[in-house]
Amino acid sequence: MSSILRRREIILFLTGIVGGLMIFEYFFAVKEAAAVSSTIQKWAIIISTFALGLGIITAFRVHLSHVKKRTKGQWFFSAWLMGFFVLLTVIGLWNTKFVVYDWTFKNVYVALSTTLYAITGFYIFSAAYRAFRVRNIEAAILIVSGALILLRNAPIGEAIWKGFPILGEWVLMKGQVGGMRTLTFVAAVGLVAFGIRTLLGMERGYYGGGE
Amino acid sequence: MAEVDRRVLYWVMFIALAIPFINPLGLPVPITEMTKAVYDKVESLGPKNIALFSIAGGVSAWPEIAPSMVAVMRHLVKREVKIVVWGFFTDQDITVDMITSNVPELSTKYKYGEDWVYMGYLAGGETAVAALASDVHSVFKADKYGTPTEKLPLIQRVKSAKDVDLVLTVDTGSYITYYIRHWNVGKGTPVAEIGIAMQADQVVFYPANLVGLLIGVRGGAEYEKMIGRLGGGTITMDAINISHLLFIIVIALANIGYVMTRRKK
Amino acid sequence: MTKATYSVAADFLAENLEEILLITTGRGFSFVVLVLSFIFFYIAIQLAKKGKAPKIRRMVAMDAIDEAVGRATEEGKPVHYSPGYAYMTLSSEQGPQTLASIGILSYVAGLCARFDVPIIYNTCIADSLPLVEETLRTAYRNEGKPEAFDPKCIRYQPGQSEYVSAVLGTFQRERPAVNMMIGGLYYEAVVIGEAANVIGATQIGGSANIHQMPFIIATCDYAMIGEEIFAGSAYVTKDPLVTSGIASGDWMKMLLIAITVLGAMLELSGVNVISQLLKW
Repeated sequence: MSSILRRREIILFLTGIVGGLMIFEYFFAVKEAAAVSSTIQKWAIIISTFALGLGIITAFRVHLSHVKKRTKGQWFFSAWLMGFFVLLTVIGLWNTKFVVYDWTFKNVYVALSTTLYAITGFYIFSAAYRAFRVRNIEAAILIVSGALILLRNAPIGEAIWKGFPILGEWVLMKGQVGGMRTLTFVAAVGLVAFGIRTLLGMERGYYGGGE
Repeated sequence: MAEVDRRVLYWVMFIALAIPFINPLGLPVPITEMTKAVYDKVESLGPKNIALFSIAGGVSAWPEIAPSMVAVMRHLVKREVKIVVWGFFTDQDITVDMITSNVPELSTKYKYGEDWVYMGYLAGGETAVAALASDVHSVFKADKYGTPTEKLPLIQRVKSAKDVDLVLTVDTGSYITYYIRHWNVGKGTPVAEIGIAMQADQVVFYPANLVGLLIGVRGGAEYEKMIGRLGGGTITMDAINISHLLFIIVIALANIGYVMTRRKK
Repeated sequence: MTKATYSVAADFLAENLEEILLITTGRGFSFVVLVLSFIFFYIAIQLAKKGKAPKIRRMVAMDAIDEAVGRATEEGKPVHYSPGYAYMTLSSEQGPQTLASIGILSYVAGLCARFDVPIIYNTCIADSLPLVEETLRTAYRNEGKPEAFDPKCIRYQPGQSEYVSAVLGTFQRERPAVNMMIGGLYYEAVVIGEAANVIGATQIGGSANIHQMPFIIATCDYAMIGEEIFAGSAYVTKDPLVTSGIASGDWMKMLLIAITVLGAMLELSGVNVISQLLKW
């Protein structure tokens, strides 16, 4: 049964039908199409939610195998992760206001998440230090523009010289607009071409139908 | 100067960022037009209006967006605007807890169900935002705590995007574009964003569609100044000042070293 | 026809398009663009069938994939591939980027299967997992090594921060020779990119998210900018019928650029036909 459902003809048929319907509904003011489209959108929400469960199973499969094989440098982390997951699931199902559960989320999870986000600043710092060298005129323009934007964003720029925010505002609102809109514009057109190839079944790599 | 170990750079950055927390600089924060526009819009709302507070950012982004979220929520409560909260991140409950603990008026002054309501988490990205624009009740049958929507007078008033007077989307990515496409362009609902610094360019893409934009920590600091209650945003601005200046100095030094190295060769 | 006549005609069409053609107000021009895109695509396919396939330029980043996998083979280290955060779902505007990434993954996985290079796939996009597993399984089967495929090479993390920390851990423990991050990248672009630089991995990155472009270019050895990720999976097939579809997108771009330039010139001279057209 699963081999029948995985036949590429069925995949292409469903992709084409649903894609075509969504396009039709977007452009044409037909009530029946809107109703069907709304139903399909709700199905998509439900599938996304189910996928979270599938993801947990995938994660467990990987970590369980590490624990079974006692993978060096990994298995104790995997065991800890699975144990923690089971513990929090049990406590969460029982009482999400339980003090340990609540404390763990607010003081461990939040702290770890914000730490990882904050790491971005340090990594941008080292990446920029390594990459932003004045090798040519374009690089020089890039660095000067970046500096003006930084001095516009930080109030210290205005404290140093009142012209920095004005120049930075110009770069943000006028100078970079053409380039950014161009990139967005061409990405959108490329996306349309990709969508057409997908709807017509010429783009097969994403479901493994390449050969 | 051209090749400094990255660990040295990290330590320099860490120490430089730590200094203003110990000894604040207290530099003034000028108000930008984008922040003022959001403030003016919220100021124009009142007890008969409904604002949607959409959480599309995780707890990891709190350093940038939490000051703005708290400041805007305080302003909404001060104006007695009715507030509907929902979101698209699995950890948003922690964010809502943070907001309610920093804005106690949501418990003391507001009545849950009539003045504000938290509908919970919704998976589905743009599909969910589009579905909500057309029919909120077909998507949400109950709030976060399981209370059916029939028993929540506030959500009974919100059937679609047309019943909302302002969307405030707390955003670390693309949800602002979803709300603009489906709520603003589709239904005419005003949309404003509380975003991270990386989204400053959204305003140039959608100048006509976006009411305004609170950008990162600076947006939060500006809003705190406008509502007259300084908080986390203002405290963090000193660190922003130091880090931005340090960044420019280090890049300049690196390039001086690079030019000198090239000349030697 | 006078300027006033044009304006009246444009206003009439804008107000009555929904009744005449059932096209939703404000979406008429988009519909015309879509129809033209299909027409250009059809023309490109027909040209390809006649042996006159339009030529597309080399994509340096895609050509570098072979070299990168070759390097991983020599060093005996794995290839790491990740599609980025992409809002952790296919049901968003980031979804096509994830699908494009999986299309490129198909090619990368084929090379890895051929040269017996392990591949590690880290993701936080739950609804893409069946697609990824099928893509990898098919790639190994096509190379005649179905038994070599281990589904445990696909590692899922239920969140962006979790995904980033998992990738950082993978880099430190398993030291891949190559890092490919292609898809809907967000702040993880700079974190993963810089972490890969620390371990000396060759990097190929790409995203249509403009705000990540500077970080991808700063950290990666080869970068795919914007629409190149959508063209990537078609490019590697080397099939003229498929690559001609890329050229049709370029024709559409040229037409839209011409309309933009014409519209700007007309607008400056007080004729707002084009701007009215865009509001249909």
